[in-house]
Amino acid sequence: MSDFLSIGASAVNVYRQAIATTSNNIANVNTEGYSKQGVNVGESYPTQIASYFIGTGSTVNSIQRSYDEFVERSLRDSASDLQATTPFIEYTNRIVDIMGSETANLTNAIEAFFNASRSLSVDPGSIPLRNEVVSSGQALASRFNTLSTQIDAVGTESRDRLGAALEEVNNLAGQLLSINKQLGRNSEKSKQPPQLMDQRDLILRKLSGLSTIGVTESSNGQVSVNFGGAGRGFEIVTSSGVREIAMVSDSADPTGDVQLVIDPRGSKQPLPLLSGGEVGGLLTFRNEVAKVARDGLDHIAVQFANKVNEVHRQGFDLNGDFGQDFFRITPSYSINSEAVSGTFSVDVKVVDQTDLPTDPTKMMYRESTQSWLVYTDSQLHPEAELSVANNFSFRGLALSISGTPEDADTIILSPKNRAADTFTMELRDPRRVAASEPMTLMPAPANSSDVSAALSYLLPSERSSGFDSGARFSQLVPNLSSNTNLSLTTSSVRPAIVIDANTSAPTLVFDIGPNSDQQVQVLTAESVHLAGTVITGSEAAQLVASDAGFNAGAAYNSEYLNQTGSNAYLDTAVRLGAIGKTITEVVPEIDSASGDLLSRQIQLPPAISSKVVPSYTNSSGSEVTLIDAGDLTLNGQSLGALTLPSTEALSAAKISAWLKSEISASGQTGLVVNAKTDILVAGIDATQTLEINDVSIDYDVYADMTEMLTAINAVSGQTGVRAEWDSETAFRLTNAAGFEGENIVLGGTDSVTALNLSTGSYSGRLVVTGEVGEEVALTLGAGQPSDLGQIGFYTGVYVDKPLNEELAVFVTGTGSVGSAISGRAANVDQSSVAQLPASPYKLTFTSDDIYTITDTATDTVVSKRLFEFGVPIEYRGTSISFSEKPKKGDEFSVSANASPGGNNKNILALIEWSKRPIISGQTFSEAYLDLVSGVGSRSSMSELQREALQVVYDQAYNTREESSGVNLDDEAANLIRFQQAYQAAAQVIQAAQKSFDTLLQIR
Amino acid sequence: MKISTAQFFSNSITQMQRQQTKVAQLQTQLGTGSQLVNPSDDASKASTINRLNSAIERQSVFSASLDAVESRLGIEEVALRSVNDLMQRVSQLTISAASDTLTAIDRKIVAAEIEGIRDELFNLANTQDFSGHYIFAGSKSTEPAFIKDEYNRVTYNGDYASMKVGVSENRDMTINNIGARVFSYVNRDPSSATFGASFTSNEIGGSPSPPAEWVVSSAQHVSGGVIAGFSSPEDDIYPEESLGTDDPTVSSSNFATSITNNGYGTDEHALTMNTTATLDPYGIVRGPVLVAAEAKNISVGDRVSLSYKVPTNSDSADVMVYLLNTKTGESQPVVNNTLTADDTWHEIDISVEVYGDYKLVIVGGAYDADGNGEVNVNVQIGEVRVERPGEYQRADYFQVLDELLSDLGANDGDAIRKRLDEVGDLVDNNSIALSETAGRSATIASQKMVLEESQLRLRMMLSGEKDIDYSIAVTELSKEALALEALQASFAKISQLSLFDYIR
Repeated sequence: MSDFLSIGASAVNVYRQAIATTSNNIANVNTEGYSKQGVNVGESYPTQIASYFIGTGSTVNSIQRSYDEFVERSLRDSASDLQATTPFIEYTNRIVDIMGSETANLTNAIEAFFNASRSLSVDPGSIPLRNEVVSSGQALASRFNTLSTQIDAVGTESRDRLGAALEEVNNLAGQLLSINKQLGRNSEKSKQPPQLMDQRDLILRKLSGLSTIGVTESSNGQVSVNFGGAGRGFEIVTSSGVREIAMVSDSADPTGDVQLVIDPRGSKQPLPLLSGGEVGGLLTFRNEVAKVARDGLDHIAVQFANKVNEVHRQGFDLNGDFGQDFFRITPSYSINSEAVSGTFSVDVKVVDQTDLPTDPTKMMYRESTQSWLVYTDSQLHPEAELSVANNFSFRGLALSISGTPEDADTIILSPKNRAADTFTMELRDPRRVAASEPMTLMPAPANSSDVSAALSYLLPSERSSGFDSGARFSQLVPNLSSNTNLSLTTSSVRPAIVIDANTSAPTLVFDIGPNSDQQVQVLTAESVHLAGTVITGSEAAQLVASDAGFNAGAAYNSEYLNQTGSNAYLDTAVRLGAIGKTITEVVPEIDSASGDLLSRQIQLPPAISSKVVPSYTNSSGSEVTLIDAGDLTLNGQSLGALTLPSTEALSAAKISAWLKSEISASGQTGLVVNAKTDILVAGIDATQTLEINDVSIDYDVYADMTEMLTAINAVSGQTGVRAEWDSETAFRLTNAAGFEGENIVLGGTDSVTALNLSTGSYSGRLVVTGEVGEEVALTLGAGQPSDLGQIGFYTGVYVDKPLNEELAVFVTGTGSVGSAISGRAANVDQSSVAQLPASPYKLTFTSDDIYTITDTATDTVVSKRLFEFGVPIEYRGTSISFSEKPKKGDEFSVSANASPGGNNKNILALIEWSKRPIISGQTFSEAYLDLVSGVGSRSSMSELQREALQVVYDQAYNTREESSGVNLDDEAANLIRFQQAYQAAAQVIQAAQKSFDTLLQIR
Repeated sequence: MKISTAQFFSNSITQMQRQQTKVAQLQTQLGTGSQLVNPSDDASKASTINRLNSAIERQSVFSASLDAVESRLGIEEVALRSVNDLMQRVSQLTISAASDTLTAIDRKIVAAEIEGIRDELFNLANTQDFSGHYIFAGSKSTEPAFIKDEYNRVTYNGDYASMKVGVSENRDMTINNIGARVFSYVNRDPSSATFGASFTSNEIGGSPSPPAEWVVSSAQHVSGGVIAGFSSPEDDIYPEESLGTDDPTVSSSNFATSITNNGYGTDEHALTMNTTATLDPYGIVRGPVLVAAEAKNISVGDRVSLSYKVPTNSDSADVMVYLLNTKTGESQPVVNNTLTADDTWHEIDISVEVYGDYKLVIVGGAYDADGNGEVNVNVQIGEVRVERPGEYQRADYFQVLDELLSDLGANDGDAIRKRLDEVGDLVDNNSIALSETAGRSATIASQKMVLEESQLRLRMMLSGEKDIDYSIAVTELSKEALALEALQASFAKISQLSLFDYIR
């Protein structure tokens, strides 16, 4: 009913609510996240009277919260971007402050070290100046350590802050869930209490400050939040539940990788990296700044230590010894063995500090191949897999595993102490600063010209690389203590095998047959022919073609060919032949008196043994000379000729007889020759026939082995052949007494005899034994390897003492040759003399253009070369250059520096490295300053970004405030408006009252 | 555009904060006097400042090095000047002594003075610097540069390395003079000295004896190792001998020499020495001993070569040849060989180790191998030569002075005049070294100036990067302070405005 009383009443009601809303707005002017509420007044439904409508007043349709979803979203997004820059800039600036400090930076310390070295170079013998160098080195080490610790502190702090931020995220997610639940009671957004919605938006805004989020609003106002951005699928809040976010790090390293995971106690899924919000800013800082700074500092530390050590070790200190290591880096690794089910322990050792892994390394055991797979960042390193199981090396680390790992066991190695942390000073004694050069160059006083020569040194990386073809000894015999058999092809141009320097007792044995034309030649890189047969000039030129690794300027020298004793090259004889030496063995035995276990050394006499003597029958019609007189030498004595009369066959017995007569003729006692023929019979076929040495053997067709044996032995007097049991199932045919070494000829009616062996002549072997303490050496005199093959012996190459250079072993001729090799690496002589860049030598100009290099200790001419003025003479690790052309007769000797007190060459070499580019084309100082500038420029870029993002954020904020913020003036005006309306409505009621009174007063 | 109340307040506060930060920053700059408060304010400027600091530090190290080098060069210069003065005096004295009007006594007086000067020169050659290093010894500076042996002969004991020192970023300087070059050798014309006249000049048959300058001593019978009539070298340079039980008695002996024409080379002659003797019991015969006349002024490195053989009509013979220094009695072995009578020539060629005047001593001997009590020794010597390798003979510094002294003592006018030229050469060498050192000092002085300039320049650059310009900074400060004031005042004013004030 449209009476104006109720209209007035409704209006009063409406405006009372409006005033209440306005005063609510005023009351909440400073409430965070409050959105202005407005009253939505609507007209009430009119009443229809006849043909017209009459209004019934107004109602409050709704109290509307002014909220713009899109403005909110843009505000959240810009907040994420802006908030990401704050922690990034803050922490990056701290790193720059640490590293770039004017007084405490690394460059100062490095420069101080080099400056101390410069002062020392003026007076290298001075002990106070040397002390300066040592203390500046210590200051440098502690500077590295300090910088490293400080950067680590920032890393730790950023990680803690990251943890706190993630806690906060989880907190807010929990709060949002409870709001979601409350919102769930209503099914329409418009019916939701605005205060709840405001709270929801506030939480979302806070979350967006922490990380980028994607928000999906449902129809009733509930939200689900995606961590990392819209559409990325990692929901942390839904209408019904939350999922936690946590941080895991693989290593104990403060600046190491951290990984975000969702649902850490449940399915534990890793999250990809995100870049927004505080969390994103911290992650970016850790990955792009902290890690980079840390790795950069470590890299400088490693390179610096290695280079200084390398140069320092090349010089002499005041005591005349080679310099020791100056600095030392000892990084350690922590072993994370969570995912293992077997029981084993891992030991990690650093062997090469130039190539250490800085990222965590994962190792997984694979049972099927009994090897470990090594991964870094899920990248597999195949080379580690090939190593021997449980003991392998990977990038500068030597790992040994003891115990039994099970399939798929995984261990993670991560660096615990980084290089810059563990950088210490190794050298303490100022006398041991190696300022001097290790060798001196003295011209002989009788030199006709006053040529000045300068001596410099080649780093190991600058020396000539040696032979580049030919299988290397050290590669063929990996741990150099076991035999290896291989087949080699002959070549007169490429060496078959290269014996590495410092190999002790290398033995190469070649199986060269009696009719082969193969020759063995052994040469040094300076074309000095050490062992082999005499060759012509053109053959020599072929061998020493320079692309096989020979020094191009060196002339072929056969002066030391097959020499022994002090006439040999560097007093070390290289011999070809079959050589046996006395073997010393240690045998355990029980002492009869005390019962203790002792080790006794016994010496076994030297011996050489042949293979089966080649079978050869002289059918030429006249006597044949198999080996000429003088071809072979036994223990230094030349052997006479070996002849074979016509129609006779060569046998071990004949060779043995020949050797015996030669031995007695030369008056050598103590050499004993034994010959023996041996045939193994593993099974018999008694249905076949058998003749031994033309004597037919009688047996039954059902005979077994025992009966066969008896039958053979029955006629051993006639055949000269005996049979004896070798094992339970096999017997041997061997010579009877008096017939040692004679051939055993098997015959029969068929080609296969009853012994399951084919018909033919079987020859025997020889063994020559010598006296304990001596050796047996059957060497080539004027002969060739085929002469040794003629009597069944292998041709071996034997080097008496380890040589400090490589030897090329050629096998020339046709075909391929089988070989066996053994040897071991010699212990590297640690004495100063052996470590010199080159053994002391003399350079003599035999003519104006030809010079010889003579080893001073043994008076051996190691090289004869052509001289080219202007090109420095390089020998081993030394390099000599002349100011003018020397003349014939000039001599220069290079020897160890006996008075290193006044020499400053090595400290000058060290100072050079302050100027030379070493790290990616920059000097040490430059590389560090570059690192600092790099970090600094990241920071300033971020600053610029922040300014821009700030503007965007301000814009979004202003837009939001514009639409949802409370303006007091606005509210004041509204207040007046609604108050007036209220008053007016009150007047309407009064008017209705008055009308009613008037109505009531009618009589 | 509407501005909510909260927004207005927060904007104003933010602006004021920003302005205050700026003011505070300027204040810190003014307080510390440097543009860069934290390295993080401007990382590349921080790097530049570090670089400049390093460069300045380096320059000061170079400066210190230059000072050290300067003082050392000073010592060198003083020493070299003294050497120069002394050598001038020697030159004067030699000129006066060259004149034949002086008597032997006068020359001896001159020799005495020159001997004193020589010792003084030796001391100067071993000059040490403040730290006790011998400055003329190359890099072997812990040991004296020159040493004297027991016969007062001087040899160079240092090495030939030049000591370099870095004096600026890109420049190394050699700071030492090598003693062997300061006190360097002179070159002499090679006129081969032979030990007396050669055999070739002797006519065969005309004079069957060796040249008169050769002294022959008769055969000696020894069972020990001493030869009479001659100052003996040590026993142990004789070949090994196995002795008879007693000294043998010699019943007869004969000794002869002759010149034959079957020398080693074509047209060369040979000198044969022959000894026969009868002994009872067996023993060793030594002889003859042949001593060549003195060859004077042999230098280090001169080569003595000769050939020898034992012809078939002789027992196996020991042949021994050595060089005998006439002044000191030292001997240098040349040959020490036992030969069978195989009539093959052996050659030997050695290099003389110490300078001086030498005689060549040749000894042949034999052992009664077959024990028949008779010995017949025949040794033939081919031409004996002394040769100078290379174009010139080198005579070392102190060798020249020593020879001058001995020539003065021997009153040999011609020789003294030859020495005069050589002394002149020595003086020239000294002058060269002196001027080199003076040149180095000059370089050091100019390098120091350059260094000072560059230090100044670097300091200025550093100041430009690092120090603030106070006038600019103060102006900035007042500007920013003014802006802050304005902000604060306007905030105070505007925040007061509210509609509520006007609603009664």
